Amino acid sequence: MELSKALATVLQDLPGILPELALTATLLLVLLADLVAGRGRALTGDHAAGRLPGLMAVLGLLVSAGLAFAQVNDAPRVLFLGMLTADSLAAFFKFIFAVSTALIVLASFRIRHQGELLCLLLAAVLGMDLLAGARNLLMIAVSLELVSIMSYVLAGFNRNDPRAGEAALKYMVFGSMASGALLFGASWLFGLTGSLDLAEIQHALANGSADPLVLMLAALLVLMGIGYKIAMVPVHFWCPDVYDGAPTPVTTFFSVGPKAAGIALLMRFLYPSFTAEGPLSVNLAGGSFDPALLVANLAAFTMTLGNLAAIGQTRVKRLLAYSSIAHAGYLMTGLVLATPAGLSAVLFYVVIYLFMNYGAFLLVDAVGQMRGGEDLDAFRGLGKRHPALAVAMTVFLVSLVGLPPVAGFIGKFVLFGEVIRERWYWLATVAVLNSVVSLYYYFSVAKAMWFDEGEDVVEHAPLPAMHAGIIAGLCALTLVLGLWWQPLVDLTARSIAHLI
Amino acid sequence: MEQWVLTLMTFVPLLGAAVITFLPKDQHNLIRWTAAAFAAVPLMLAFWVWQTFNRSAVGVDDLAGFQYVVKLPWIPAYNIEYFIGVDGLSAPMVLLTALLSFLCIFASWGITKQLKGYFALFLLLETGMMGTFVSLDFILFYVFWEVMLLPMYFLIGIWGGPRREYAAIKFFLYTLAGSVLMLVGILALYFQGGHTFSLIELMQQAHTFDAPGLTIFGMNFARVLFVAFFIGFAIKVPVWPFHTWLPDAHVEAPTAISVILAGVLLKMGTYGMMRISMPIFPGAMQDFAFAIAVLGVINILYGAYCAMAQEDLKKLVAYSSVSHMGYVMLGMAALTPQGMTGAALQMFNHGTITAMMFLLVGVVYDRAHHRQINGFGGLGAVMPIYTGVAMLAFFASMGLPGLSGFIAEVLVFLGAFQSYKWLTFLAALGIILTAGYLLWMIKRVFLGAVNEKYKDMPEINARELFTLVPIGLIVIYLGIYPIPVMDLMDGATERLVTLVTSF
Repeated sequence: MELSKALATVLQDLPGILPELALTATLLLVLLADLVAGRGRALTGDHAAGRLPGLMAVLGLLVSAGLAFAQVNDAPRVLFLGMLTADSLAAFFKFIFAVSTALIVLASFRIRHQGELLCLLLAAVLGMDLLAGARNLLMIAVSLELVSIMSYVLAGFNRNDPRAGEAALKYMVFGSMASGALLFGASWLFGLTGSLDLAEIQHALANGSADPLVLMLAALLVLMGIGYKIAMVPVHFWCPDVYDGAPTPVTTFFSVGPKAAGIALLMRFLYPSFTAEGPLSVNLAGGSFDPALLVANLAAFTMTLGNLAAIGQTRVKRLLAYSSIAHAGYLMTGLVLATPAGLSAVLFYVVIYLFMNYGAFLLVDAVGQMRGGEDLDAFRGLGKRHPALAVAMTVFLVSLVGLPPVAGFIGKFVLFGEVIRERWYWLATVAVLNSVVSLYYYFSVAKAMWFDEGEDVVEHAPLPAMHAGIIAGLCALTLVLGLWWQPLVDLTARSIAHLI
Repeated sequence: MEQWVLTLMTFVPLLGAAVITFLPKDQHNLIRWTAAAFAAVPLMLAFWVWQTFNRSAVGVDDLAGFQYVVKLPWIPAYNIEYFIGVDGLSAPMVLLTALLSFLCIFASWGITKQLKGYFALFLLLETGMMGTFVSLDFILFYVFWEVMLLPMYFLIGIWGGPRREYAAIKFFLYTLAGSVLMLVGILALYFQGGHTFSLIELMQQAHTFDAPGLTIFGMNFARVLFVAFFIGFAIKVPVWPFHTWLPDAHVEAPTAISVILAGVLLKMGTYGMMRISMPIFPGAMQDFAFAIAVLGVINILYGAYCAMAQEDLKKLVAYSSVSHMGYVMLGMAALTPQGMTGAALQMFNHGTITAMMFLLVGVVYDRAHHRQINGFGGLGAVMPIYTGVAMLAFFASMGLPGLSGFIAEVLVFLGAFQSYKWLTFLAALGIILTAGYLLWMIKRVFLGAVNEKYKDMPEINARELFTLVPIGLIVIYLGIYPIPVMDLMDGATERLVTLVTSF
């Protein structure tokens, strides 16, 4: 009886995870297709067959994205006995994950053993999707592990490159520590409240009288565990090495997908209980623990350290790795606020960050393919030899700095605007001054492209049309969004509207 | 139909930049003339605006006083508008921008490296400058303000002198540091001022921002924001001690870019103070007026002393800009009608005079490939026409009566003396120092024995004269009869003073 009832609930909740189901099906099909295509290629020498798994993955990801997009307007539901939620926020992130990964698949056709790469990517996306909807500590731990383990393997995908081995090992050691911290913190929360359900934990904390010190420790441990995924200071050490060692398309994936998943998870954790106007702070009024201030300080440190460390990097991927640490800091400023508008601004920034950061990383990949190197030297003289590429890179760099009239400015405008609306003036000031610092190192790339001659740089191969097309599309989006962003504001506002 | 004139002035250069990117690379003259044609359109339109401008309309905080206004929604979610128009403060600046941009195309004729890029970026720069002066929406203003930085960075960094990369990034970092503080200020005003970016509406809420209970970091809201905006503008002017980017940028920039930098970009700092700081924070302006006057006097004296010590002709002219912008600050801070009109007029006149000086430096640099003051001598005998034009510019810069610099400086002193007697006295010493460094330079460069190395230096050519003569005529004309420009600004400057003093 019990069993059948539970089964009925599960069956009834299945439509809530349609995007995940689509991913799972794609994953299995790609596995099969890779086998078939591999066999076919070996038999006939037909190269086109090798593209089959990739095309299937793109198709599956787009289906998943479509299914997620359809859920944005649905009424929020709790699924599987409180394990998952299907609300607009989760749908928004699932959509972003699927679309961003589809772009990665399109950009990674040249990688050998693409089939294996695809399976790892798809499994990671599945984990990220589950994270976006998770509302139970166990579910969070399990899906986080799914993402992490896939990421470790992805980081070491270039098996023969010693840097990749180092990256994978570093990632795993740090990752395991972070998982440990998260689990430890979660166990404290469970001890304090007697529940694994986020809503119940928040409710219990709000009505109970937990010791502020214990609560702060638990919160810190959990924050470190999640913060590691978004490369928050002080758990960011893996980031430059992993970004540098992984194949560039994978790095591109790391720089947005798992990071956005971490942000989604932080939102679930922090909102509304841990924030300034949440029930927790009211309960602790006059107490010694202000969670909002803690997050604000972490954000400030993250962006400052990321930007300062990026100065002087000569490998562009490392430079962009530190830049992505800084951007995690910017994103966290929105999490400090206890307002729906603040969360909406974070989503807004995530989308813009996706465009500009993907653009920059894929351009590094393009230069790597054409010129065989990914350090600043490889960019020398790009402006003269390939003006279109150099212009696109300049657009992405300008956007990453946050200068008008491109999208990056609008992202910062909306995000820091919310920070200022809530009167966190010091945080906003730190953030904008950080973007001045970032100008210096982003423009070291612009300098190499436009000011240096680079006559001696040898070019190996032309750029694949697909790659050029993706870069052009991202560049166009970055430009257009800088001038007309009303639709995106509407979308992110809607994604926050139905929140549990 | 008429109201689109400002839009055209702003975006025709941008269109020109787009057209130039599609021209064939090796057709140098085609590229140059296309650039000239697209820069000529804003000039003609600016001339027309100057002719048709209603001199009795006031502007500043009164929308009815603005002319050629366009107001269209842009981003409704944030109440951002495409809101442009001109009044007495911006009209002279628009005219100056159009004039100098057009002439600078011809001053750039000698550029041979990556011509397409140069002229496309130059026209993009013109769009940024025009847009900044005509914007009445804060975000629009900020966007144009920042749009100028990027072309400037590349124009200095690619076509500049030996230390161009250093100068370019220094200019960029300094200006950006100032403008991001401004961005925080803009957002704070938006959320405090009932969610509007309209400058006019913000001015009307000056009392709200100055309410005693409203604070940032425990200090008065309006005062803190005034300081934030002031730093942003001061870096652009540049006010001592934020001036160190200027000599570097000027020395490394190609001639035409130096002209634009000194002629137009520096004015944006003081224009911003007049357009934004004073009417939105009149209370804070009253409190800080004395400090600004002191900074102005420091600029005058410090700039002049530095100019005197320079060996490089261009650096001398650059420091003379620091010195002359001090008069604008002093006149503004006096908060008297004469002082304010003097400041606004000085902005226009310094724009023309310093443009001439930089063009003149460019002429000898193109021939001698160096700018060492001590490396010349007796040029007066070698290049008599050039020397004649140069004397006109240098004497105008000294403030010789009969030339345009004089009128503005007299008005500044008249206005400032009513408010700060001792400071004005000190500032007047600056006139002597100016005469000192210019005359000393003239002695070393133009007089004395002819330097054998340059005894065959070719005389100034027709193209170079074409860039200099129109400005020279303006300098003489406005020196004798300044009314055509003064009557543009009179109403607005008076209104601005009343706004601050009656707060």
